[in-house]
Amino acid sequence: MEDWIDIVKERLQDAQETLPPDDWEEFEASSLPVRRPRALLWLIPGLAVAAGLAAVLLLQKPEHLENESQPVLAPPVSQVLADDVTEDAIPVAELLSTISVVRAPKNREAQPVMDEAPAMNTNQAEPSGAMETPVKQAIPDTADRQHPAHPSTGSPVTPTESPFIPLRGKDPQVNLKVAAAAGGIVGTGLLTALIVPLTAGKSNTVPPYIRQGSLRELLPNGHLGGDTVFPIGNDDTGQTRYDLLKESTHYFPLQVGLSTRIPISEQLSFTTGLTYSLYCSKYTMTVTRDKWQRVHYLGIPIRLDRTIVSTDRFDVYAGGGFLGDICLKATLPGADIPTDRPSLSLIGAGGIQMNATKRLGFYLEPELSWRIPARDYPLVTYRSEHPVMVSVTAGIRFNLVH
Amino acid sequence: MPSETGRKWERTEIVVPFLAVIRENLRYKVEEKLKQGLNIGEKDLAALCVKGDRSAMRELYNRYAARLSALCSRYANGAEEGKDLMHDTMAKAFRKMGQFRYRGDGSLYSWLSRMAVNLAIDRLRKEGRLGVPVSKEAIPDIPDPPAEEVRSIPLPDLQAMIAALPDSKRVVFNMFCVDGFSHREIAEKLGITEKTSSSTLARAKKTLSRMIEEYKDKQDGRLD
Repeated sequence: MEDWIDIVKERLQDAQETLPPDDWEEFEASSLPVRRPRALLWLIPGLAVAAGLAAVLLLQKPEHLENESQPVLAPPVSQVLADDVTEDAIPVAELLSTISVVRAPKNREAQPVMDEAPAMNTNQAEPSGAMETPVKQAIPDTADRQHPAHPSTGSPVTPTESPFIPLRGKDPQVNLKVAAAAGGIVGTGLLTALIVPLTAGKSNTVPPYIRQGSLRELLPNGHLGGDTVFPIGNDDTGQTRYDLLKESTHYFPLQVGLSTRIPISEQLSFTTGLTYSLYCSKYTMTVTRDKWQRVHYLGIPIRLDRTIVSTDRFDVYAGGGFLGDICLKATLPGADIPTDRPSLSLIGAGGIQMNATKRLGFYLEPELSWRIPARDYPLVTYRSEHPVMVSVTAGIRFNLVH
Repeated sequence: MPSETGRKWERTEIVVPFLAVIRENLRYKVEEKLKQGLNIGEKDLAALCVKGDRSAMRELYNRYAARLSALCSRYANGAEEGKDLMHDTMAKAFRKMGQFRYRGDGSLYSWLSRMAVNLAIDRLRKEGRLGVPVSKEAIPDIPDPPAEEVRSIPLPDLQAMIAALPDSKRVVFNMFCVDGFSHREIAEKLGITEKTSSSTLARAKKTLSRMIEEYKDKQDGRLD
């Protein structure tokens, strides 16, 4: 005989209450934290970490600054020149104004310091055989005048690699500014590079060039009408075979560049070059292997940049301008795929540049771009899905000295 | 058909977005299922909730809220308080979802229901409603109601009878008879002895028997 308690248990255990249709919304609004974009959740702590790291790296006192408090091994330019020319004391300013020619070094072996640290001065680029080549503007600005000269060459020795006027000094406030700016840009760049690929966009947009019809159209007795199909080749009888497209995923572009910055003032520069972009998209099929679409673009950015801070090793800058893109090639196995017409985008970019030598540097630029809409962009890529998008370009930059 | 060379080339190029492919295998399949309204397993659902996926949280809520709300109403005083308790339970569950350990089908609801019971007890204790008086009176001798009679009672009426039990009796009855706690577990959670738990349960059963008897009498009277 069944126990009455068991019946109570049976009836109560699986009982359900009828909840109002908007119960989840009510619960979400009252009990769950406000949603924030996933990327932002990573971005904030990431920026903090990046800024901290950058601060540690950049606030380390460079070697040449550490030696500043020690006795100067080489006498100043003015002293060397004064010793050579006359015993009498001549005002430095007067002396400098009269200098137009200094002798080039006799050979390269005689300039070890110059080899280790290329100078700002253009006379370093002279060939070793040009012993008597006159060099104009040997000491062109006040920044160089304060650097010591090598006793054997008379050339000013400067550690400055950047073509921009260094803004960093002993003032810790400036160093903090450098660290914060560099940290922000590096952090943004690295995090964008890391996170955005992880958020590759699923898309419901089916490119017109792979929409071939529906199974209902192809197979009159089929049950899957309206699905997107993809031609996968011909069967033995020569008829085209199709597979169902399950989903499409558009990946964040891979961007690399060659660039040059042409300084037009102490802080402003004109930036241009070439940027190569690869946009990958994956089409997941139901039966057959995934199809990969690859679109290659070559872009020419034209920007006006303002240098925010500049150190011996790094330049941090931000600017805006245009990017003209040409679609070089687009491939998608099994489909006759068109190419985009040349496009124009408005861009805003920040960047950090690490100067390896005086004329060569590496840069990392997070960039916000908006492609000006037009009808001639048939390709479906990450960019077509995100007309306003953040990207990161890494590349090599040739510095033109101001 | 792509050539073998073409396939190799494709495979090498897959490396470019390799991170996304890995993640796709881990997560996207589940998300897609969710979007398509397909039934995904408790383990995957919990894993997505840990990541803060709102669609997964919504799915979990829709899947268990109604049942959990009925459970909470049994412990609380009425449906309104029960719903409030259910919301608290869900909110806590989403916060603590990382602690959930999947042990087979049904383990997620089991975990949620335990959490709800604990919250209900905490709430009653805070409000001072959980004092279990040690009654020296003999347990009244009321016969057990026939099983058929119990089965014929509409569910809302049966729930109302449970809700009408005094707090301590209601909690012990629900824990032991419906939710499967042992007297030892009840004693630990309520801070009473096992013997007290046992006698409280006996009194709760008798009280409920009397309620059912009165209910039937009333029903019969109406019919007459």
